[in-house]
Amino acid sequence: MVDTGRGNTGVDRYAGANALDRLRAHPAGNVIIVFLVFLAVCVIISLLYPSDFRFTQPANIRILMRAIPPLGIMALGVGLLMICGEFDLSVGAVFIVAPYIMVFAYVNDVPLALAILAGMASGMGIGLINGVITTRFGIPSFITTLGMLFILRAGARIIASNRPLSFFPPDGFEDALTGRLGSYMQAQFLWFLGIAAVCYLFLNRHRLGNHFFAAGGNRDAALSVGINVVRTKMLAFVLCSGLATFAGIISTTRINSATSTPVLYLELEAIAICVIGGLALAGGRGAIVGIVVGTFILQMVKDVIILAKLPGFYLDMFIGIVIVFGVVLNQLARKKY
Amino acid sequence: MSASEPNAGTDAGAGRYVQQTPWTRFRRYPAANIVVLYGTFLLTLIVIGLVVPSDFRFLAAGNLGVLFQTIPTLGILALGVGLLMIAGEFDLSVAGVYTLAPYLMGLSLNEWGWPLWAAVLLALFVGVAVGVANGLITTRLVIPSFIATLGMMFFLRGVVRYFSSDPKSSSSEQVSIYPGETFEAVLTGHIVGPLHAQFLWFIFFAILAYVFLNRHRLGNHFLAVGGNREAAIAVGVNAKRVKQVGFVICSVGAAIAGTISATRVNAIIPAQTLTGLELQAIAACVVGGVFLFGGRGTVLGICLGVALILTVDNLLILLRAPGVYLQGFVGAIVIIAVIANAWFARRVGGQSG
Repeated sequence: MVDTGRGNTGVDRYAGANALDRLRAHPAGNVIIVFLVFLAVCVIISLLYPSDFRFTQPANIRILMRAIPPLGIMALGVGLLMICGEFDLSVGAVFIVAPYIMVFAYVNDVPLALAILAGMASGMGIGLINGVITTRFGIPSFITTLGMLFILRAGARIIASNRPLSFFPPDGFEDALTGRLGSYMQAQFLWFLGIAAVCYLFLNRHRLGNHFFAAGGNRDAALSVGINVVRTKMLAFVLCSGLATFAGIISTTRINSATSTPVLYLELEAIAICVIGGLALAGGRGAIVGIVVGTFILQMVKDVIILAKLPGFYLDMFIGIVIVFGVVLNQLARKKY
Repeated sequence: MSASEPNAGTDAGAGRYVQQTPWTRFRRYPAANIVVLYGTFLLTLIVIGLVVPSDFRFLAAGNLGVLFQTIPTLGILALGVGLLMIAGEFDLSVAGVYTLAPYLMGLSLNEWGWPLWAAVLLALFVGVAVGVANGLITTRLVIPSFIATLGMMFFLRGVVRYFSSDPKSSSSEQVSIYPGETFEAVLTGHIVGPLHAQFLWFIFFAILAYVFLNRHRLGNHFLAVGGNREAAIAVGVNAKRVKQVGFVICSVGAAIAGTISATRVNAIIPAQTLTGLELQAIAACVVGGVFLFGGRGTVLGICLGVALILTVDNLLILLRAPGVYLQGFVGAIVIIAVIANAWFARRVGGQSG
């Protein structure tokens, strides 16, 4: 009796549904299915032709585990904020600026702990400014953070005057953040999964997480049941910038150098990951697992194109196609269920 | 409705403006802010330029020439982006069109031996095709245009790389473009003093956009669909078709802007897709008072938004500030202008588009 539950709304909506239907009713359900199929195909091909397609080789898996976390952690923050109904275009610049401040402090003989604190504080401070401008003046966050993006890019170049700083923290710090664990695992990947788990618990098990959904889904209703929407959004902005900062610190620690050169379009890639993962662009809907899977898909597409020795232009084309079709897929799921 | 009550100024409706001064009425105009802002700014620069002409060379022919040559490219691009924004949609793929259209034009002239008219048609065709594709994806698949055009942005970047990648060296190649003297003269020729042909083209397109938006039925539909989609559909406007037209206008604008820019410098660099042009164009529009979510905005505002950003750029060059300051200023201007717009809108009483 699969069909009985579908027409109804309410608690037992999925009561009669089988596992596949229930998965597909999840905000990220379709994307998870696509991801699993994609992963299975890659693994099978790689097992059949191990010399031509080195997907399952330890070296390749380590590359993936290094590439996924920075973008993924950033996307988690962007996603939390998006669920709350706001955008952040400035994360790409925060990713560069805040770690640069940390490294700058460190090379000027500030103790490491204080330097990290300075980096995190400056990143989260930028989030706070974004939040204050957006909520107090009532202007779209797209504009606030677009402006902030330009300001930070310029700020970084002015402060740094194009000098990269090398960053060699004590081994313990480097190992904890980006060390190698076994032949497959990288520490930053565990950080990514850990942060994703915390985000999941926050969003789905904590009262404030629930407020995120409420503020993004129906602002007026949220206000009328007594949720402090301004404070909720402010928190989301700070979390978003904070995670972008942490992602930047991981990346900086891995390559042992902080630069002031902006990585263009990082913020748009983060947004793309979120919408591929089933988050509604306008807020109020989404799941952490979708963001994680979205990051996997995007980085795996990049990886496969390199492994298959396809020309570089396929990369951009595929990312474009993945973005559009990911969203179409999610849209279909939403209509059906 | 209130002919019998001359003091009906507090009523809504036609009598609302009876007791208002021209100043208040001017401020209700959506581009009022930017007119005041840019007017003051420009006046200050001109005065300083006249008082100390040797220290501050703003009015020198060379400087004005630079300004008049840079405004049209971003300007024509922003006109299309702005019109589309008024209709309630985004286009993030304009930098791709801006690069791909002249790139193919250059290739077809240099390597495929096409005649000029066919090459120009090809460039315009790129604009139309991308616009149609963006529109179809957005309206038929019912996904946000932000996503559709974000995907298109990456896709076009790949297409540009496909055409520009050199199989031997794996680096991307720039293409030189020499479309002949007549064509160059018509598109970017020097006319008089600091004035170049492309500035006249910009004015021409701006007037065209103004007439379209304010005097043509379809332009009215742009404002209606962007402002209140349901209401527009209810009165019989074909919202999908309106948006489709908006996407095509936007992409063709980008193709024209790219062609003008390429003709002026006689080259197209593939890395143009990576300069963040789409965000600059959106920034210029919102500075000019175009409402981010559609339904409100003026052509004059868009033009002045572009002019303001590029005049600040010019000022920074004159002051010998490093180019990076520009981005910071653009960022600040965007935020300040939108706060000011919101504040004006509240002060003067909400809706007026």
